[in-house]
Amino acid sequence: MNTQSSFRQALPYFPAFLQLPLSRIPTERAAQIQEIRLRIGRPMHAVMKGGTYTVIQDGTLAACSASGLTVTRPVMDALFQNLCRHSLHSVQNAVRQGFLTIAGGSRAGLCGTAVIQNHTLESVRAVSGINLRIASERTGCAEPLLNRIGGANACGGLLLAGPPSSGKTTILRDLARILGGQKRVCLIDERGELAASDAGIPQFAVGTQTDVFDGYPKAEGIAIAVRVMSPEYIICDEIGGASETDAILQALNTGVQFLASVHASTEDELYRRPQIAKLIQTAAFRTAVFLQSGHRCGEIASVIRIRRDKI
Amino acid sequence: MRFTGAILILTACLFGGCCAADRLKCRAGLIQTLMQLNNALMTELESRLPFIAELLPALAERPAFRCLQFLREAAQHAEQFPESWDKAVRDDKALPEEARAVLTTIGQTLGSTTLEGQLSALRLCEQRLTALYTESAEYARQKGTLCRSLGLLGGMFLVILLI
Repeated sequence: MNTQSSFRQALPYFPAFLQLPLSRIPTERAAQIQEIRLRIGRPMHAVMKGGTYTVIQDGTLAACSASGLTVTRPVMDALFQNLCRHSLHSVQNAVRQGFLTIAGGSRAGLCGTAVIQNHTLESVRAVSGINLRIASERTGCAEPLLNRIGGANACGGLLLAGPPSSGKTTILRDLARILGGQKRVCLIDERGELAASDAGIPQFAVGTQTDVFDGYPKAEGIAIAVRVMSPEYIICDEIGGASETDAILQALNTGVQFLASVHASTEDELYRRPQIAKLIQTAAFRTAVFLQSGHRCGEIASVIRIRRDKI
Repeated sequence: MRFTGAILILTACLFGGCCAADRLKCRAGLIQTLMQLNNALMTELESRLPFIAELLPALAERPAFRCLQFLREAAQHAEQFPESWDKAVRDDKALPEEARAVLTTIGQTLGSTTLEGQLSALRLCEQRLTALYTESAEYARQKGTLCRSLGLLGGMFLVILLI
């Protein structure tokens, strides 16, 4: 599934007021859209590699400062209901975490007014902003990485690091596809972005021997995967919590190797994160790959052999 | 011949009275089915957290709810919920007016708030439907006897008049 088809799959979620101008965006431009950003009372923006653009009624992408289609409260509410498939109860957990994954694997980030119950964030109301990140499947994008590190077997546990929108999820997905063609892989897809499963069927190519744990919290998913699926590799996105660290450390006893992404732009930033430092000290990860961001997202910035003495 | 005609007239009038009584019973029965539907919605929401677009077709398939025309209609266009629900409720002429109001509330409730919010609202709907059912059942009991009696008496009156 390419960016263009993910974009087309996202269109039906938009109310007619926004869907029409989005559908008028020329195909070659639509294929470059990474995000659609909506904010109450402000124009709708399309984020691409070259910058941020305002979407105009006729499908033109104008400068960011231009006035365009203003997102009103009824339009935002209608979009939110569509993203929830009119079933807020079904996606309550995801909404609590601030995102919704839709058909095609695209992810809608939410912000608004918090609903707090018993001192915890329960839900969100009066959604004021939605950031729809368009999913992209770039088959083969992980091959340069694998060539550079000498194959997954040689890396001894791989950390894929980079700032937001650097392509970590896209590369992890392709790693699952490649490794899953040869070995038993478990994909812990907590946010539904890696495989974008719909009724249990992955919408992205994730490998013939890959088992997808869709929506499982990472810690539970890792524990169950190790217990019942005997994986050779476990792949998960955005690790960093204490429960995930414990689950990974437990799983290492079975000989499984981990490939995971983490938010960190530099080596020092990586070592400063307490949970990552804990994993590094136990040799759960021996290789870290840093990715570029911006218009060079997805490209490898550096590959390092992780050093325990630097913690 | 006269005797046969008298019997036929009497039977027809009694049949009319019984039909009227049955209609009242059916009304109560329909409301009882709506109560069961409400319960099924609460149970399904609580146990499976299903998407509405999957829930409605599943419920429409159940034998207990096959008599609910509006549910079948809404299930066929479940992807357009809640508009499809509203239209189906409006178009189903078999629904009593008070039950239609409760169903409209259910359509506004489903999927629009958190699980707890929906369950709260559905429990209120349950109370409303229970009150409606109690009233309908009592009305059917009282008026049903009256209808059958009127049918019989009306038939006898006609027989006497004509003969």
